[in-house]
Amino acid sequence: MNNNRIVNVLLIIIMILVVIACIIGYMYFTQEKVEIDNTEAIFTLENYPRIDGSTATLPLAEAFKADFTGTNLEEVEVNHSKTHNAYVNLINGDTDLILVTYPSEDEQKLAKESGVELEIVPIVKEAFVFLVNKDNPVEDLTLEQIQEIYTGEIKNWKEVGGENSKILAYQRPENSGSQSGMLSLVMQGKEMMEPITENVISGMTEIIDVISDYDNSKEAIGYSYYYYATTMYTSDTIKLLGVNGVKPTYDNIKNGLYNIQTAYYAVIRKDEPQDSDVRKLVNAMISERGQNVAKEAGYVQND
Amino acid sequence: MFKTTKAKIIFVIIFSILCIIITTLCIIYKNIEIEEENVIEENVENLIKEENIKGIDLTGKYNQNDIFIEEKKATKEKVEVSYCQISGLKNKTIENKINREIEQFALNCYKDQIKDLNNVVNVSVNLENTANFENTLSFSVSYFAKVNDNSDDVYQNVFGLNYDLTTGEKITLENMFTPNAPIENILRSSAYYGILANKAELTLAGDLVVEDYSDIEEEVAEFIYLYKMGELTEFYYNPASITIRYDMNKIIEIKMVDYPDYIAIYNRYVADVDLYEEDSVGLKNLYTLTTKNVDYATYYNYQNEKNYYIEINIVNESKNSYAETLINQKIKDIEAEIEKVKKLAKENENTFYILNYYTYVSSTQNKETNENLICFLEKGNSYEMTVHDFEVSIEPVILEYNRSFEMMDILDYVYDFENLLKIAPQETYEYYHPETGEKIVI
Repeated sequence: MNNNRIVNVLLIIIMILVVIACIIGYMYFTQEKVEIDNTEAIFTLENYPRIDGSTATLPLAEAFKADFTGTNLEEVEVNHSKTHNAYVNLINGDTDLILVTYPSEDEQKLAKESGVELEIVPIVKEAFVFLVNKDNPVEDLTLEQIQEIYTGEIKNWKEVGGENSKILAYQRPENSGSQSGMLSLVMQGKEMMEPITENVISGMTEIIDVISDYDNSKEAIGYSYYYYATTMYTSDTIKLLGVNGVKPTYDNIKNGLYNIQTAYYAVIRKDEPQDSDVRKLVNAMISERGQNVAKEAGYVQND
Repeated sequence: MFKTTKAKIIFVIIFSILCIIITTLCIIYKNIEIEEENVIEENVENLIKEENIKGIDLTGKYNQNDIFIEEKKATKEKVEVSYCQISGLKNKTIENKINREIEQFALNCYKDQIKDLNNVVNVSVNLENTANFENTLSFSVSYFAKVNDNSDDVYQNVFGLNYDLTTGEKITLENMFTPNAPIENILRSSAYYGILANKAELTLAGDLVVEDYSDIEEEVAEFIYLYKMGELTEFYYNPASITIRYDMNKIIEIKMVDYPDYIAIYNRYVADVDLYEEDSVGLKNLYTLTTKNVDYATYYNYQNEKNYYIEINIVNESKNSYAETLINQKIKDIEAEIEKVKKLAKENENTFYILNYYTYVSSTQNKETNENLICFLEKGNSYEMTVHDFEVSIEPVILEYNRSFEMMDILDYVYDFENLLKIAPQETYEYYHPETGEKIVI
C-alpha cells in the first residue's frame, strides 16, 4: 500500500513537471528573442589599433571596433580612405591594419619598393555574383554561358532559357574592383566585348562618354561583389543568379559550394611584434567571437 | 481508477505525450499568427500609402504655391547673409516657425566648420529658394569663407531646407519618393554618373574624359552607406531635380525625369483646404519637370489655360532710367494685347491662341554718331491654331524646350514653331534716345 502511494505521488510529480516544462517551453518559443551581449571588451578606445580600409569593409571595421571595445555601434568612429589609399597608408606606417581586397600588382610593387613585407590574413569570404531584374525568368547560368554572354557570343536571353529579348550585358568601369574581379575570376583570359556606354553631362555643358551603370531593366545582366549587390541595390528589385546550379546564398558562399569567391583580408606589416595589439586584433577578428560579429554585420564568415 | 502500476505509468506517458503535442501545436500556431499579423499590418500600411501617393504625370501640370518670397540681407561682424522670408500662409504659426528656422539656419550654418571668426577673412552665406510648388518649399543654403587673403584655402558647405507647408515640418529625403521606390537603385545610379561627371578632366587633346575609374565603386558604396546610416540629410530640390550633399560639399543630382514613377513630391503634400491668403501669386499650369528661371526678368507673364498660352518676358540690362519709363509703357501695351487675346479665346473656344514674346532692353551706341541709345530687341510672335493641333503638335515642343535646359541657364522662353506652323518668331530692334525717349530710326 505504501509502495502504491509512493508510485502515485511520483507519477503526479512527473505529470506536474511535464505541464510546467510545457508551459516554460511555450513561453520560450513564442517570445521575442533578445540577445544579450555579455562579451567583455578586449581593447579600450585608446589602445585600439589604427584601422583603414575599403568602403566595403567599413561596416565590418565598425562592428569589430564596437564589439572589441565594448562601445555602442552608433558611437564608434572609423574612417576608411578606400582600398588603394589604405595600402599606401599601411606601407607608409600611417595606419596599423587595413581591411581590404587582395593587393593589386601595383600595391605589391609599392610595398616591395618601400621595403615593407605584408602579412595577409583572410577575415571574411566574398563572392562574385551576377544580378538580373527579379522578373527575369532565368535563375541560373553556367560559367561558360556567362563568359559567352560577355564575349558577345550569346546575345539573346532565349539562348540561355529566357525570353526572346536582347541581352543588355552591363560591365563595370576599367580598373574598378568589380571589373578586375570579372576579368580574373570569371573571364579567365577571354576577351570581353565592348561595354555599353552612355553620354553624361559634366559641369554645365560638356559631355563625356562613360561606361553605363547596370540599370536593372528586364533585359539587363550585371555583376558585382556579394557585399555590394546585397547592400547597394534595393533588395526586392534584383535577383542574384545561380552559377553552375548553385545560388550565391550566405550558406553556399560560406561552405564553398558557390565557388566564384574571393575574400576581404586584414593586412598588416609582417614585422609587427608577436605580442602587439595589432596581432591581438587580427586574432580577435578570426576568432569565433570575431566571426560572429562579422556575420551580424552582414558578411560571410570564414571557415 | 487505475488498478495496476503499469496502467498508471501508461496513463502518465500518454498524458505527457499529449501535453508535448498540444504545446508544440500551440507554439507553431502562435508563431504563424505573429508572423501573419506583422505581414498583414505591413501590407495594409503600404497599400494605403501606395494608393495615395503617385509618381509624376509626364504630361501633367503643376502650380507654384501662393507664397511671397522676400529677399533679406543681414551683416554681423564678418558674416554677410543673404536669405529669404516667406509670407502669404493663412496659418501664421507655421509661417513664423518656417521664417524663424530659415533665419536661424542662415545666420548660423557656417558654424559647422568655422568656430572662430578670427580664423577667416569673412563669411558669405547665401540662402535661395529653389522650389515653391504643391504646398512645399525648398531652399539651398551655401556658405563660402576665405581663410586668409594670401591663401586659396576656403571653408565652404551646402545645405538644404525643405518644408511641408501643410504642417510646417521638414521634408525628408525619403518623402521625396513614393513608398515603392527603389531608393538605393536611384541613389546608386545617380551617384555613379554624378561622381564620374565630377571626375572628368580635360586631356591635352582637348577631350573631356574620365582617366581613373578605380575608386568609383567605393565612392558610390560610400554614398549608399551614408544613406543607410541616415547621414544623407542635406538636400534641396526644384521641379526637375533633387540635389543631395554628401561628404562635405560634394553634391549628387537626381534627375526626376529619369525616375518619374517614383518621385512623390508633386503628389504627396496635397491639402484639403486652401493654405494661402491669395491665389494669384505663383505661376499656374506649369508643365511637370520644368522650371522657370524668371528671377532675372523685369517683367514675366505666364498664363496657360484651356485655349490660350501666353508667355512674355522682359529683361532690362540697361542702366538708363528712361528705359524704365519705356518698359512701363511696353508693359501697358502687352497687357492690353493679353486682354485682347483672352477675349478672343473666350469667344472662339475651338481656336487656340499663343502670344509669346521676349524683350531685351540694353544700352548701346550708334556706330555712326557715337550717340548713346536704348535698344529694345523684341523677339516672338502670336499664333492661332486648333486646340487639337496645339495639344498634339505645339505643346510637346514647349514641353521639350522647357525640360531640356538646366536651372542655371538664362532663357528667353521664345519657342520656335517654324517647322510646324511655317511661321518663325519675328525679331525687331527699336532704338530710343536715352534722355528724351524719342524713337530713333537707324
